Amino acid sequence: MGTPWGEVSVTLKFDVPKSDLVVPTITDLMMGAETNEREIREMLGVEFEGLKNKRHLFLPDDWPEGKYPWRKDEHGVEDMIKYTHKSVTEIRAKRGENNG
Amino acid sequence: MPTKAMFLMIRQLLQRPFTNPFPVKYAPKNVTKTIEKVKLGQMSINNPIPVPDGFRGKLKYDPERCIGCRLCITVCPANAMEWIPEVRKIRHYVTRCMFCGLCVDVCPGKKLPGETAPVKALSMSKEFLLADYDKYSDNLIVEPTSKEQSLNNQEPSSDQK
Amino acid sequence: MANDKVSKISKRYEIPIGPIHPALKEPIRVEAEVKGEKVVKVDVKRGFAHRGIEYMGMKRNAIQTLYLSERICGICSISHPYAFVLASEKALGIEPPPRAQYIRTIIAELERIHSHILWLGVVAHEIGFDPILFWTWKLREKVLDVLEAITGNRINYAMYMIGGVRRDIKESHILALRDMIDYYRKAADQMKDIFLSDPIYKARTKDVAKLSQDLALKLNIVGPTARAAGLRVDIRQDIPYDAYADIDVRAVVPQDIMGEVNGDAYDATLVRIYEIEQSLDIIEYCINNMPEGKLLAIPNYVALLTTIRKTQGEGIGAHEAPRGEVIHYVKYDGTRDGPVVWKVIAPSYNNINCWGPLLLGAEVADIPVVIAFIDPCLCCNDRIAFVKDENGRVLDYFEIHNMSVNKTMKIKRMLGV
Ligand code: SF4
Ligand code: SF4
Repeated sequence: MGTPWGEVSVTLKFDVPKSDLVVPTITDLMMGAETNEREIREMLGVEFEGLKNKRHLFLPDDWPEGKYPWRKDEHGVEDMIKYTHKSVTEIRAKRGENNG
Repeated sequence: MPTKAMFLMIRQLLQRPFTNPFPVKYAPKNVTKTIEKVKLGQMSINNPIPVPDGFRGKLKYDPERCIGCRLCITVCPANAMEWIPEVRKIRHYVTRCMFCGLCVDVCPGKKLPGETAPVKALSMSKEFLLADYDKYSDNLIVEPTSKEQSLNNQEPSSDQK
Repeated sequence: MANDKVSKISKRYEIPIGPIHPALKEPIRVEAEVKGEKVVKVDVKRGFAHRGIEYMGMKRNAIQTLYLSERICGICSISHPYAFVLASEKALGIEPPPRAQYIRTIIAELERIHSHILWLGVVAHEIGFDPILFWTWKLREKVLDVLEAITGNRINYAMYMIGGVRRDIKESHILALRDMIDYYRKAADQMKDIFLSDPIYKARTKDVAKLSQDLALKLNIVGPTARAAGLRVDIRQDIPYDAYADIDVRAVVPQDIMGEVNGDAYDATLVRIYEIEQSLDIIEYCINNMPEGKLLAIPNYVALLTTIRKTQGEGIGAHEAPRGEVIHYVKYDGTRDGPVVWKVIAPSYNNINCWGPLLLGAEVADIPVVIAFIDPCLCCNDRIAFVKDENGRVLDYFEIHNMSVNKTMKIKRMLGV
């Protein structure tokens, strides 16, 4: 670091089976990775073992459980909104209103 | 203890305003009258400063030269172009436009008889005062007004306000 | 009454800042707990400006996405397209012509100048130096005029294209650029006087928002904020691209200028003022050594889109934006003429990490300085916070701003200025 051409960027890529989405956290080594891990967690549903702050980063706090906007195998880019948002019927039912 | 910043401030106070001057120094009581006076030459106002050469303002469209290739629709990032299938021309919504000028770059245009090179159907004007209360006002929609179109586009009678 | 006050001060109070807050140009929320004047606990909530713009990009073709990326942020309206074209060119294997590379570098440096001057004004405003705010923003007009002359508009330049640039820099523009360089050389000297040797500014920013080198590394801090902490990080130096590869760009760090590093808001000011001068040197080099030639590798947009539809590939583009490194990841899979995956990491995404540690132990009146210190850009990241006083009342921006201004006054009186 600190010299021209001195930075080497390393990209690590590994596959995690969809049935077992757990990877160990690196926040103990690099505090700043918390942002990235929280984002991956909320967007893809990958759990980070040892991640302390698990609050949503970009998504609202009342985002429906188990819906992950970046999972493109479950739904295309086209119907992400339809898929991830609660339908009006669902919200009304929750509020106890009947939609006649 | 005077600081450098203080000298700077005092110097600033004595300088002319840096910003472009308003057309008139004080808001006139009657704008219409003022404009009339200016037209008659009884009054002078500060003219607006000119925009640079490459300025990207409201889009101008010449339906005569449009060949209906739909390239502008393909590249437009804001989807400000609408295809009118009946006349094979386009309609442009100024309110959606983000003035990137891509459509102008891509438009092939048409060579009218007697010309050596094709002239583009689209071009950017220097008009930038586009504010309006109605986003569908005539000023904000650019479309072909050819004979075939006039049927669908009957203007409401002029006494309607 | 006095007793009342004492008992209250020993209690903790919560101060929410944001989502809408005048110290911030964009929405974010910081919840600070204060004990007396000291902040004892902070929580930063972001996400208020999350617009899902990446999703919009994945539905459009690459040229549309490029211009969408320009709209991620108004101030960095070159940085995002720059990173996007770099990533796309890597993915598609297109090499932009040399002249286009130089023009891109010039525009990017012009943007850095205007962004840094804007930041100086914002910080001056936060500590109550409003005349300086107007003075710096007056200086900024010059570079905006030049940008307007070259690109056609003051912001949102619509200049870049995958494989080159869309407009040329003509002789008349070069004259304007040279004139601008002279103007800013003088202005930079004045700015050094006004900001760096002013006793009040020193008192107000020295040791505020102090970021140690170690913490900056741990929190992935980038850009001028990291350089103020003494880290020699700069994408233009570490992984040069375009014309930066021909120029020996070195990261501007306070230890080279002052001999010592504090990592505080004063050092951040220092770094930014010296970076303006660095940018002027880069622009001067570029206009003196500008190669001739084409502007676009694939001049026909339709052909470009066809190429994209046929190509598979992925690429990461990194550009040193005024606030730090902006990284775009793009993947084309050969089925669509647009990206199938597009991910943006803006500098503030990482820089906001430092708000928590920095605000801890800070005085309430210093919050605006800490927040402004990293030059947050929340549209880029998607942003901090409000404060309640001892009675649980919510302080609005003006009160906090006034507290900050009053502190400056106090220091003024103390220094006898
Ligand atoms: S200028 Fe840009 S946004 Fe406007 S219509 Fe043309 S391509 Fe679309
Ligand atoms: S305006 Fe130009 S680009 Fe658009 S359809 Fe007509 S000829 Fe084609």
